[in-house]
Amino acid sequence: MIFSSSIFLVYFLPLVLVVYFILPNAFKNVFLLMASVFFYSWGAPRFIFVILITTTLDFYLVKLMAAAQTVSTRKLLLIVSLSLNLGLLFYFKYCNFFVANINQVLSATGAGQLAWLNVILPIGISFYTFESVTYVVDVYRKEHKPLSNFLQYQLYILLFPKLIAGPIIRFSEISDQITGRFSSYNPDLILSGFYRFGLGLAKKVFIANTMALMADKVFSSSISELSVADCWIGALAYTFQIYFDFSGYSDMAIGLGKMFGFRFPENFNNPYTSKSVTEFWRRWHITLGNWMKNYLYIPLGGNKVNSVHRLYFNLWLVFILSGFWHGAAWTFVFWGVYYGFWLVIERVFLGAYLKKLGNFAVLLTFLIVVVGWVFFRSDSLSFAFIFVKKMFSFSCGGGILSALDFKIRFFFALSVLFSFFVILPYGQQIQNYFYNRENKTSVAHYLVATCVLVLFVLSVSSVTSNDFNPFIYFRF
Amino acid sequence: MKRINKITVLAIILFVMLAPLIQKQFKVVREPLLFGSFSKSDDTTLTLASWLDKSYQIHKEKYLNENFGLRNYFVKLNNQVSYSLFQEMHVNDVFRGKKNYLYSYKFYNSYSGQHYNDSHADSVIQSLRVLNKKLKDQKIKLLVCFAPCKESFYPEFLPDTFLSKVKARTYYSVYKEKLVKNNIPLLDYQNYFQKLKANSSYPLFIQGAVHWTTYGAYIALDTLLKRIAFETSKNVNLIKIKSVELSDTARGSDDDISKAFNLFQNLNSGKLAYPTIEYVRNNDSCYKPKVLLIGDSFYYGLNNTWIPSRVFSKESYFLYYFRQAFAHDGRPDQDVVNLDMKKELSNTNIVILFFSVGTLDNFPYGASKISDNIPSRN
Repeated sequence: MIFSSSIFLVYFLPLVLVVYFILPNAFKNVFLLMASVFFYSWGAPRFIFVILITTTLDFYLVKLMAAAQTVSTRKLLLIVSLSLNLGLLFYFKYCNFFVANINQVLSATGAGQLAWLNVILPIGISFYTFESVTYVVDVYRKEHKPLSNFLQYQLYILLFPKLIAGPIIRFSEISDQITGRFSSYNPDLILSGFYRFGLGLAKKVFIANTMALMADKVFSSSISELSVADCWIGALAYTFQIYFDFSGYSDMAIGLGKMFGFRFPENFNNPYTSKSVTEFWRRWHITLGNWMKNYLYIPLGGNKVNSVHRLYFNLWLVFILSGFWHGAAWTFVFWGVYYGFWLVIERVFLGAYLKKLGNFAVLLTFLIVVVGWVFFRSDSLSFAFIFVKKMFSFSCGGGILSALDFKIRFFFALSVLFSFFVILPYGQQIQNYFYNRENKTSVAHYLVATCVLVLFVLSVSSVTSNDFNPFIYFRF
Repeated sequence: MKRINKITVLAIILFVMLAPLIQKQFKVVREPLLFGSFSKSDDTTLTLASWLDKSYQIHKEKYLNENFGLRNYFVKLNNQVSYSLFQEMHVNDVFRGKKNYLYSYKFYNSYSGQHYNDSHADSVIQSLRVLNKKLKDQKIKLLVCFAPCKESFYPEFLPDTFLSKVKARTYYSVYKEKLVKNNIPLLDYQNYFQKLKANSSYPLFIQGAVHWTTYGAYIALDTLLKRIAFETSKNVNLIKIKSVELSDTARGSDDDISKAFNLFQNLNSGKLAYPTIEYVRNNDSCYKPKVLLIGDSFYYGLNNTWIPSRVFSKESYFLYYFRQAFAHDGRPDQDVVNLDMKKELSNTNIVILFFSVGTLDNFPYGASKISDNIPSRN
């Protein structure tokens, strides 16, 4: 089930909210867990069993690990748990990729092929695995005690608002909220959650979906048909699509979390206003960046290494793995390499120059990011390279897109406005007021509630009705 | 803000979220109908296998999406917003031409000869020759009518890119030429309406509809009755337009596209003419031919005047695309395959093939097969 679907918006969410509000606090978590199991099994009815089994194993392995007397036993149990979680991720997400590549090598050398049935990727596995890892590692590092209640652990992993697209929540960030959130659960939090959810839904339904139409049109075309303008429009459309899609989804998750009393970490902070690639990665998919830092970069030595070469290696490796986490294809690997390159270059010399450029650095960073998205979106590396080459060829003529219609221009303008308006005076304050401030005045509450309700109703009408396109009359 | 106010806001939000479920359960308000041709999914039954292979979820989700409370309001809201802000049309097969003239892709393709094929045209003409001869042998008349479509009536408002792709050789141009050459009676409304276009007192086609106007349909019916009278040499009753009522509100198929847009506010059609007619002769004393008319939706406009059911024999039929049979005497509709064609043809006086220039790609939709069922009257 996805948030921007009629089954979620019209049936699941209203019913779950009403029952949740009515239930006494003691039953809220059990109900939320049941709702989460239903939510996930609606879209992945077989894989829910895998999750339930692995969470059970993890729960008891970690319990044993926490109780273990010797370091070696603790380490062994840590390795078993990590192997279980990462093994599942490897099997479901990467086996197809490796087998396909091995088969390519084998066929090039004239050898036979490995027989392999394609494995279907279960939705949300990348997020669920990373959260499982944080639980095991945080307890191993003694940053937090393991949960004593099995259902509470299941709820941490399966909590539906963040289950399939994040934010990736570290165990230590949420463990206390699972049982202790009810003391600060109040109408302000619920209302602020609804406002956030409504804004996120509108971002996804109106801006991201419109930009997707344009991006899909360009990226599904033959490269020879595309003009320079087409390539730029396609790349920019995808740049805004992925931002408003992903940040919209994160807003919905954070908003839903608040409606149920949870406070999830922020996942985006106006990334396109960054003045360097390093800053971009502090503002884009923040919870993934934090996960990579805490569970990969720091264990590799982080900044505290003996040589700059090792530091650069660590940076690059983290970004290559981050790229690979996004998808099992060479385009994603290259996307990681690309960012690793820019981060190293910034450390070597570019960072100092960017600092001197002021707001012009925003434009330069944005340009680097736009080019990066071309690799992320393309189906193959060769297509991506030719696409980027064409973007910078500055030749004229041809193309598949004639004049952009008013709707596309309108949503392009909105995308630019909402991506960059925080750099304008009072931009940040306005955003904070709508997004984060819970204690609003009466007038503000009525005003914001009205605006968000209108957006919500319009979004629901779009989600539920866009595929209703009747013929004028019946014909054979 | 006081706690009570916050709870009020929260209650309003919850109420809005729950409104579709409340409406579904209690039918609190009467929902508007949705127009146009569309099909709805059936509900599905839950089984373990269908749950595990996700087919249940897929079907159920589709079914629930089509059947929640207030859905028709949501559809209209979405369509109205898209149309008002972006001129977007949530209707299949329609595109916008110059000056907001709306057209049908399907009709355009046929009118412009996109799928024209010489050998297909030859075989159709050959089958019509056979049909005409066989009918003639049994003293049954055949009449072919070609109605204009919006695209052929107002080609000047087609987008330039569409206009430039109109081919010289189309089914209409070829059939017209060959029907005349083979002495098969032809009523060429396309030509006739083009002549009327400049001087007609009232619109024959309008911007926001795909079919001819009600006024246009009356003109077409008047012409058809005269032609039947001529072909049969009998005193078929004729009609005369007595008066015309002008209205801002479209009726019948005059807002066919507008209705299928499913907006809260229908498109402005301008002043439309609705004639009141009188019969030229006393209807009871007139000859009432049994007509077997095979046609497309353009004939609906004529049929919906109810005049054919009065001036034709009660046993007459309108065979829509030669698939669905509408009787003139109130018998229920039925599939054409269930008709006893031999019996029907045995007392038929005239067979009419009534199609628009926009539906000639598959003309005559299998109707020439009736030549196998023509009974001998000797």
